[in-house]
Amino acid sequence: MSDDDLTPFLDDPLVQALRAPVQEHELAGEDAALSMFRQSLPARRRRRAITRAGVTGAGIILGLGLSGGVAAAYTTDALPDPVQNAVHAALDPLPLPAPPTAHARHLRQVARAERRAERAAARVATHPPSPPARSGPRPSRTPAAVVPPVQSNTQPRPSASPTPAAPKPSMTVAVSAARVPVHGQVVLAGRLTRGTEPLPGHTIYAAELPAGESTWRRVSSGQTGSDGTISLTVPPLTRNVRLRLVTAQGLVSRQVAVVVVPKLTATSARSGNERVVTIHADGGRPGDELVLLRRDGTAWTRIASSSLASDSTGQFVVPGPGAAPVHYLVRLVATARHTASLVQFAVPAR
Amino acid sequence: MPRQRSTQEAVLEGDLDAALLRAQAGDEAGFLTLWRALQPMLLRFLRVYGGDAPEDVASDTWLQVVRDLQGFKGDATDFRRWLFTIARHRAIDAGRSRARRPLALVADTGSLDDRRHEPSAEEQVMARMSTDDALATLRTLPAAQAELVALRVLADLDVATVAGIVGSTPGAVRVGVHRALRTLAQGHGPKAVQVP
Repeated sequence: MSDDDLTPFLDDPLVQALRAPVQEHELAGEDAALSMFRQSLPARRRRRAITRAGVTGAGIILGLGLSGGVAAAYTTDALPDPVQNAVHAALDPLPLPAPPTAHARHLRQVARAERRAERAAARVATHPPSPPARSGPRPSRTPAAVVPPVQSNTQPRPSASPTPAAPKPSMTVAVSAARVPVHGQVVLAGRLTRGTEPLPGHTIYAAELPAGESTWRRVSSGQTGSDGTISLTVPPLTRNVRLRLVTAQGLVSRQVAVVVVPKLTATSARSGNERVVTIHADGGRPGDELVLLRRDGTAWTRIASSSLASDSTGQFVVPGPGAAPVHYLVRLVATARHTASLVQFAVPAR
Repeated sequence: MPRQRSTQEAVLEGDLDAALLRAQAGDEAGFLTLWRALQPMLLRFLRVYGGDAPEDVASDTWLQVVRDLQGFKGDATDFRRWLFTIARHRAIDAGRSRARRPLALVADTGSLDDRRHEPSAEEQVMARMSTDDALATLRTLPAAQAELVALRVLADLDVATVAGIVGSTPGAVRVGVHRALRTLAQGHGPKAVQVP
């Protein structure tokens, strides 16, 4: 799609974030989707199989003719496929499912499209890079953007020309999530290499720098595998941290940041005609600010604020049930130690 | 600055057409290619437009897609438009259904925790604005504006297609998207939260 109309906003962090690379959780449900697809398959597969009968089907249709009943059955996929073939031929201008008689053409289109896709895929950088499709000289292409593992600061940038000098060891790092609920864990994964050669059997430490502190500390360790990779689980997080991988020899990967989302829960109790709503913030700290907002039409209006007590709770008093339901939202304001968090509740109508 | 594209988008721009044809021929890999390329965008769109159950609406959307896939005619661009049109209709249906449900005073069990929050200055230093933050910010816009941005920026549909989906003109869509993005850039949302 052309982005001409969006050009003034392409540097906007919000637009960049909206178009950020896909996150793993956004691909959850793949199995269910595939299951749905499979359930839709049998009719199509049956049709393709019978289409291969070809001439036999054409003979059958001559005997049946094109009665109104046949045409109606066509739309319900109730006819034998050869019959449908012929009906399709007769009703082709109608916006009905593609006829099996087009299947051969369809397969050719598939083949052509697949070849185009292979050429497109070859233009996209992958690692390890795929071998060139042919041995002759080809114009160099700039690899399309991919999500690269974060490179160590010490790793030389890839160059278009070969670099004869022996490369220094380098270590990539990637984190399984940049945002976790309080007490959540993340996995740091990385790869230790010298140039393109993996460096197996090296001890790697995961180190964290919690928000508000100035000293890195090692929290887990392991050894690189035969392919130079390492995967380390970081202990449960209760505040924002920076993480990195470190070798025993002092090679340090780039830092990655992980923010912690406190968990808010709301409970209520009657107090005359009012409701006392207690907010518990797991991951919040005494003194953290809570804000109560009420939905008025499409806008949220701030109506009160409070702060967390020593037991990590705060309270608000709201009117009891009235003529219409009222929606509320409590926001725990972000601090250096955690990101903001929300909980919503509603007081129903009388 | 060149436009940022995700891995999936970069890879699939070249082969979505092929994947579509293969999926229509009953090929699972083709369907999965389509799904993996479009599901994340669909979810992000529905997190702005699809109420409190975007995953359910997305599932309903794909259900209709697989049911009608064989009859679909068009290329990957047409498919994308078809997919988001279905999603929009399913989201509207879900909204009507929600409106009929009784409300109760309940504690949210956390489903919103990951969806609605605002970045602190500290976070912006520590990390770029996350997609969750951006979606939460987008939801502070009036619904009609949020929908335009979601379709244009998230779903990556061109202006004319967005106009066709929402029943407007390309000019109005262009102006609406600009106005919305300018509003967001100036201070993360309109006057959604007012201090009394």
